[in-house]
Amino acid sequence: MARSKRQQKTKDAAGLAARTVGEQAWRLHGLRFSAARCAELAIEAGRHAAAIAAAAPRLDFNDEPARFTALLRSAPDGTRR
Amino acid sequence: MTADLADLTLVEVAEAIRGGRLSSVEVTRACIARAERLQPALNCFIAIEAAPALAAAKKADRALKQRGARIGPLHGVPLAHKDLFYRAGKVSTCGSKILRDYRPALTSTAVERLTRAGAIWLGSLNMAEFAANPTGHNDHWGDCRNPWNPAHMSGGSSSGSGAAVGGRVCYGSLGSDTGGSVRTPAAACGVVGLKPTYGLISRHGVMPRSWSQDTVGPLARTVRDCARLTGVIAGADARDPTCATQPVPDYERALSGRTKGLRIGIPANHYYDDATDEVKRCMKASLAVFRSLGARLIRLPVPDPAALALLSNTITIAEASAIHHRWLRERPQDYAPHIRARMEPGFQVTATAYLEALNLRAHFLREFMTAVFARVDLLHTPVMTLPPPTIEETRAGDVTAMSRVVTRLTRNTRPINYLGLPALSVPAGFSSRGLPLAFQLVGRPFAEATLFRAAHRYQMATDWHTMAPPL
Repeated sequence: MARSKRQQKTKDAAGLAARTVGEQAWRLHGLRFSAARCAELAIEAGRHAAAIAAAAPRLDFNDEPARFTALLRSAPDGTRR
Repeated sequence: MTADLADLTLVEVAEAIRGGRLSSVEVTRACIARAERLQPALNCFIAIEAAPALAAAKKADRALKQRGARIGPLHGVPLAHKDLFYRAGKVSTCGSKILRDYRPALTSTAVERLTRAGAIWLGSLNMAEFAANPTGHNDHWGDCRNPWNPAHMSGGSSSGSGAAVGGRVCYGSLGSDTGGSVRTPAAACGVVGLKPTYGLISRHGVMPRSWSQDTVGPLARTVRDCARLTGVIAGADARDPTCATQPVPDYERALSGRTKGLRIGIPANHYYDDATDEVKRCMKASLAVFRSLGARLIRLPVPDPAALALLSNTITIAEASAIHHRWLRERPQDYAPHIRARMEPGFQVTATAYLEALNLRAHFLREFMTAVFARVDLLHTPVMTLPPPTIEETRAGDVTAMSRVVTRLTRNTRPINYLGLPALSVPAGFSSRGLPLAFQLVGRPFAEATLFRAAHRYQMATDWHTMAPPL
């Protein structure tokens, strides 16, 4: 019984995420997706969000995007770029 | 093209034209004939430009008589390029239906530099629609096919570049690489392909896929050919603010260096997880060659590439969805369904997540430099973990199946784009079904000369790059 409640809760959450994807896509971007596609997109969005969340402890607010390019150019090879 | 002309490398043809042993017209005419003969089988061209190419070749031959030795390093050599390099007033389709008649007002810096070096434009090459697919499928212009077996994928997104150079239709080609789009077709078609350091080669006048990770790189038969092309197109360009400003080394001269004592890393995690036995055997054999050349092989753990691939993809889909937003809203039916499906997830990436993925690049580059390049000079990995699959095997069924295909084909290449590092794909053997296999060498930022030197020594000790497909 407990298990089926948990499953129902997960299903509800997935449904809510998919609905949110569909509504936002239309409201913010003017794009319409089918319910099935919204569910796929919600899963993919979850994967990307999880990757960011896993890496978040390494975030340093000093590492603005330009810092990456500067780092590439100053990497040790004996010349200045 | 006669077998003799098709067998020549880019540098050999350039030197033969310079020395008057061949004319540009003779070589260009042979390339056109071969391109027209093989087009039904390979579908590597979107447009063969026979008349303008021959006119340019005639002009090159006249110039050689007038100017003698004062000519460029690619004088009279026919090349063909992925159809996203703009030429002012000429159609650049980007492999799409949407840009079928698009005539940009500007010429890409890379093409300008090749032209200044004397190269001949033979035609525009097939590619994945908007550079958004690693297989070579194209619903609008037809699938590009592998010269070693047309039932198999050419790889992509620079599919025509791999197939045309591998099929010996032209002597070199420009491609672009955001997640593996030069290295994958180079590996699948048995040619050399460079993904340069982010910032080495100008992207001005090249249709973007993801401007934070896009790179322009050459594909050619040999490492020496690639070194020559890179030397011509690399270097500062005020029109691309991401371009570095340091002088470009003489890459060809650097080829003569030794590999003795070079430390080559073999990743202990990720890169072999999914590899077939054939690929593993091939990598082992290529490493044995490097050992015989005096390199030291060092097995080491590398920072988790799977995480880097996901972060890279977060940036790619966010930037691609911004580039394509208007067309996706107004003309969704003009995209192939599998290409549209690759753009749509970008709209779900929040601004915060996108910026975090960008900010994290510095951390992960520092981590990689410490964990890997403090211990070795180069990292050696398979480009793909399997031989090139058939076109049918990689045809996108549903969205989930397509996502699996893309992830598997780019799992070893995409992390390198996130880090901005240079990587060179090098042919290293064949599968039991006669399809090319390849390794990639990954180097420190702007260490292309080291990649070329090591790979050139490998090619001097092996003959994989001399083998021609049965066409």
